[in-house]
Amino acid sequence: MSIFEKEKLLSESDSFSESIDFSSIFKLYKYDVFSLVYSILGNYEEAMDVTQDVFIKVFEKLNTFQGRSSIKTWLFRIAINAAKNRIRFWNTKKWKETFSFSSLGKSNLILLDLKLSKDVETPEERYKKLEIEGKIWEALKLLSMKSRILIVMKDIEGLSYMEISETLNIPIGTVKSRLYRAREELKKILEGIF
Amino acid sequence: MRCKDFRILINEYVDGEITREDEIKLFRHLATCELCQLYLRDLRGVKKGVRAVNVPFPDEGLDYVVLSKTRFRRIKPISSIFKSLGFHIFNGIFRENLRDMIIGFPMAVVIFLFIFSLLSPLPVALENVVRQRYVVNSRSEEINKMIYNILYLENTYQFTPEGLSLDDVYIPRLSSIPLKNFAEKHIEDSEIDRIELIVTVTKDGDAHIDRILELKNPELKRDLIKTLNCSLALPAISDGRKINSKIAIRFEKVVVTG
Repeated sequence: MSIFEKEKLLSESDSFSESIDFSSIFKLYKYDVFSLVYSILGNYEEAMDVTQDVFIKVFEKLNTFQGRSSIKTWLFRIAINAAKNRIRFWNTKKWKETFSFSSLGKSNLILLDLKLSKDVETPEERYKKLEIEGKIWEALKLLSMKSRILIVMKDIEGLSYMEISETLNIPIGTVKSRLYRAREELKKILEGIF
Repeated sequence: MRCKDFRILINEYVDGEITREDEIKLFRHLATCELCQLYLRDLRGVKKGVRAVNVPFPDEGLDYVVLSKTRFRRIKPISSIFKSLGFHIFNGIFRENLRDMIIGFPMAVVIFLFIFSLLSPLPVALENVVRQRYVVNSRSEEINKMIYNILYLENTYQFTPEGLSLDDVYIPRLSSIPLKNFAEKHIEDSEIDRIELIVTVTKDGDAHIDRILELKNPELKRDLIKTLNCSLALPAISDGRKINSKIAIRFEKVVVTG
């Protein structure tokens, strides 16, 4: 039985907590969870650390999982809280990463669209793409926590409004308006960068 | 509707979550509003830019830590044990929780008494199966196959107060940044292949070096102390309390072939 079939079976099962196999969940979602945490924290080692903590916590709480939401939204909720706690912990220790904006010039966002839509062929173009990517990461890091989480969930993780609403436990209308504000915030930052 | 309301709809449109009715309304508005047209183009650029960023893959250390940490700790619910043994007789009679309690409580008492009779004082040093690995890439192009492992050694955690079960303890961790800085700055150019040290992590989240094993270069020793003594740490947690702990770290030069 494939992992996907198992996942489907898991979500349909009545005695949910008894039939969940932790290692399947881990295999299925480790990249998604790591990617979410990494996108929020922006630091590889910290993301590894927090992802480990998330899965160990999931393992410990698996028996209490009722199956009212999907495993994915449950996992993401735990991961977001863990990432937030890690940032809070470092902030209380007066630890913050600093970002340099020495190479920032002026351009516009339509140009960004054009640059990214080209196929990457030459090393120069590859370098430019990496440079643009680096600037987008910088911009993401400058967003407020709420906005960053929403942008990451929607645009990097590709969750639907419904899934975001379930994960963050907020109404869909709030998801829409917060996402609008988050993108406004990101647009302003990117306009300063490009 | 104002332009602001339409921009929320533009976000829904770009995300592919707009309803048919709203889409018609939006396109009617876009036909007459240049600012919203520009907003739509900008938003597509922003979304495309964010979608294009690459997120690295977690290394195999994640599998190692999570699977080893969880391998021995899964406790199957008693009801499922009985189900697997074919004890379906209780299913129609008792609610599942009640059945678990009735069967589980005497079993728990028997098991507890059995273990209690076997155990003399609990061991001081706890066996630890967790290993955290950081890899530092070499700066030199010529030796780009060389990496450094900064390992948290196995079997070296010592917790105070004594006699805690590993299940109750969240492992302590150091901030990896000073460790990486040290490895990059010193180990790459030196002839030393390995440095091992014991670090005390206090419950307040401070780290300081307890002892360094087999490192004779005094300058390197001084710098290592200086680097790690000002690093931050996550203290070990036991029963919801932060506790003092010791942690062993190994800097190790590893040559990767192939």
